[in-house]
Amino acid sequence: VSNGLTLQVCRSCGCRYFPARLLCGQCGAAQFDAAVATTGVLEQVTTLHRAFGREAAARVGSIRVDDGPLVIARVGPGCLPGERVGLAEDNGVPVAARADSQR
Amino acid sequence: MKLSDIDGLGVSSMTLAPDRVVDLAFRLGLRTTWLMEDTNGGAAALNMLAHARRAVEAGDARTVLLLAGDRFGAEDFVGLVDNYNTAIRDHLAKIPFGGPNGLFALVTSKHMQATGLNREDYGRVAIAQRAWAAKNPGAVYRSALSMEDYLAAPMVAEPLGRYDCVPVVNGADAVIVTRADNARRGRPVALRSLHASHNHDLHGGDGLSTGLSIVADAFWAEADAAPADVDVVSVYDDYPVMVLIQLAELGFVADDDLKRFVRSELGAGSPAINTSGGQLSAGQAGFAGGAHGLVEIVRQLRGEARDRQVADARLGLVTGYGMTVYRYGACANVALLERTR
Repeated sequence: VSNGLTLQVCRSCGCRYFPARLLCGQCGAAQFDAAVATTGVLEQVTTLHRAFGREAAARVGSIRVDDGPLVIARVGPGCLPGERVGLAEDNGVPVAARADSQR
Repeated sequence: MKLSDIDGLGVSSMTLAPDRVVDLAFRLGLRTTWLMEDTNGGAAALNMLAHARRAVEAGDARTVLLLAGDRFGAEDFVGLVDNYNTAIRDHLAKIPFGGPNGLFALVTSKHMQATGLNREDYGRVAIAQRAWAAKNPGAVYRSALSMEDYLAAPMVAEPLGRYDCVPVVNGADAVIVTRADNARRGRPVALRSLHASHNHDLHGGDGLSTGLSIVADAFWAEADAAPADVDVVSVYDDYPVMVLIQLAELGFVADDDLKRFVRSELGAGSPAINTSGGQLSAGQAGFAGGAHGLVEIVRQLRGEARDRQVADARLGLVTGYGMTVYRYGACANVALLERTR
């Protein structure tokens, strides 16, 4: 798990994306830089009670990344909607944890 | 009409592989001048209808058969959901995200926050559709659904319970498209308007709008009709929240008062909404789901809906919605059909 979530930043207009695009939807440019976002706000959260026979519960939420897109993340214990969360990335998967539990 | 009259074939299916549309022509014994395949899920049927209309207008084909069907087991479904596209495979599958149920749980809670609707309000959608399903021998769920049953059903992903989610079924749909001057017999249905908008917000929104918000005005203008003229509606119902969003975008919710609409108008039958029971009661047969509502409207306008026939149905509206590219569906389309005799 790496600290922060890597976003794609349009070199031409600064638009920030996750997941990656081929062209910027705002300006059409094809050149992007990477930027690491470390915090956001948890907007909505749900608990998956059952998914195709899987019994273990899991929390999934939508996070408004600071100055960035809305992403879907694995949400750690204790995070409540409306709260700021810290961001990490686990093999391409955004992970949200209580901001004070981040290193 | 004979099988040999068919000279165009379109299909939508996620389980047809390794076959393609031409293999289906081969297996059905069809000689065609026109073939197409559309994989855009809940929007595929109206996408194919849009293409077929142009093909028969231009003369590339005279009579097109549009098919949609899927057959799979629960195991197949897990693989399909986790590998739906690269964004889902790479960024959602390993959360794990619970498939579309997890994503539309988030969309529904956002919608609750934005509109003040509560769980009972979404339940009213499922309950109203279930009342229709009792009259559809092809529906999976046919027994009456009470609010108590709805609220007591096992949770899937808050705020979605079992009856907010479509049961997965095997199934198929078919319609035939031809020019008006080639449809002199029987009870053909005319296509009055068809519009689509895909990826309308570049996926920068919150899922509370669809492309219908972009095309509604042009759609009604081409139709030369208004929502109050419509007798029967099949609105794409992967989740109750999307039923309400699409109906509002098309102008069926007066004064945008969604609470009043859900509580007093939705089940009142003017227009009649999702008279097959919708996918929430009849089940979702994969990519055939998008054609389910189209077939129901054609049946209603041909007077073939039996116990659930809407009296004197003249104008019928169908929507398509779907294809979760990351957080919510990116495809939307809408068609208005008319009884011709």
